[in-house]
Parts: sequence; structure tokens; C-alpha cells
Amino acid sequence: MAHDRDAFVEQFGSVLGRLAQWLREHAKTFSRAFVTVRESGLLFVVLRDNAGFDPDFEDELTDLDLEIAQNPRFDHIDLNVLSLPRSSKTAYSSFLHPEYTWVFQHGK
Amino acid sequence: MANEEAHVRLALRNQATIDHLRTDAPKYSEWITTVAFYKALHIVEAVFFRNGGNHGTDHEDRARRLKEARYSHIWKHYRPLWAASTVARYLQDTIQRSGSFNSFAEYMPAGDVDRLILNHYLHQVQQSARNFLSTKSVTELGLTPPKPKKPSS
Repeated sequence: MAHDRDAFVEQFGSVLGRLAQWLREHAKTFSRAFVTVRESGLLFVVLRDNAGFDPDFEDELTDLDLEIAQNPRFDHIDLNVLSLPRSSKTAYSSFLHPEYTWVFQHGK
Repeated sequence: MANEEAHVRLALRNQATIDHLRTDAPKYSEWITTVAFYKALHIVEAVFFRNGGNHGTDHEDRARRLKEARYSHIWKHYRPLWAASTVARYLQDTIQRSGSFNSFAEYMPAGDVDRLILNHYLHQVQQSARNFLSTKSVTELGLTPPKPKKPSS
């Protein structure tokens, strides 16, 4: 049990690093990003910088999703991904856990 | 508990709903997107039933299973469908700003719902799923049967 917790904490740190790297590679296309807690896992929410659906961006996000899911280094991490169009804090906050949400800042 | 046949039947009812809503696509684009996602969900559940006999319990569970290598081609097209339908169902923004989400039609115009949601993502989910479904289900869904595997020499 303690071993599982330690493994999760270590992998969670690593996955945050991978997500931050992915965001740096897509810095021009998003305004904010979050990792939030859902009912039975984590959700990586990317708030895009415009209001339209972008199929190329969605494909790249799906590739990231599969890369993390199929990487044995992240076998304790249960993460899904979702992009939202640019919207107000009131609107996108409904997708975020009020307490357990990590915020990515641009460039960090 | 539903089985493969029942899920295919529900998928076909979803398709009938899509066909009905498409008579006024600009008015119902978020509903077409939502029903297209639920059609895909029932096809996925039919796949699960035929290949192990148990269902996905919720989105996270379904996602976990679809990300396995054998189903990942389904997931590549199912996930954007889920994402678009999530926006259709849950994103409401009362603060109207230029360049921000004001309506689903702005996020995805009716033409893109046809082109991307129906003719690309949903189509690809169905085409990928046919490899895991019975011949009867493939026929009922109106899909082209998968090519027979070459016998190993």
C-alpha cells in the first residue's frame, strides 16, 4: 500500500513534467492548463486560445494521452485529457475540482 | 444487462435520431454531436461485450480499456468525439467576449459537425470497431465487412 502511494507520488511528479514539456511545445495554442481530480482519476484540461474546435490539436492531445497511458513508467497514473475553447473562468471552472487542481503557468 | 445485439440496436436508434436532427442541422448541431458520441459509446460497449463480456462502468473505465493497444485506433477517434460532446453538453459561458466561446455553433459550425463528427470521427470509430464485432452486427450497422485475414504460411 505504502509502496503504491510512493510509486504514485513519484509518477505523478514525472507526468506533470511530461505535461509541462508538451505545453511548452504547444505554447502558442493554449492560454491555461490544469490537472484536476475527477471521480476515478485525473483530468488534464487545456484551455485553448480561441473559440473553435481544432482537429489537429485534438489529434496531438490524443497522441499525448495514449503515450502516457501506454507508458509503463506511468502505470499508477490514470489520466484523461480534454481541451476546452477559450472561455471565462466561471465557465471552465465547472470542469475543475475546487480544491484539488494544479495550474500550469505559461513557460513553467 | 444489455448484450452486443442490444447495444447495436441502441446505436441504430441513435443514428435514426441523428438523421432526424440533421433535417435542421444548424439548429441542432450540439445535439447531433451528443447523439453521435452516444452512438459511438454503444458501439464501444458492443465491442467490449463481444470481447470479454463485461461493460465499461463509466467514462474513465471505458477510456482505460480503449487506451489498450488493441483498441487504440478506436480511442483515437472516440476521444475527440467525447471531447466535443462534453463541450456540447456542459460548457456554458454567460460572459460574452469576442474570441471566446459564445455558442456551440461558434465552436463547431454545422458543416464541421457533418465533416468531422459524423463523417470522420464517428465513421472511423465504426470502421475500427467492425474488426471486433460479429458479422451480424457489422451488417446491421451497415459497415463494410473487414478484409479476411490472410492465412499464415
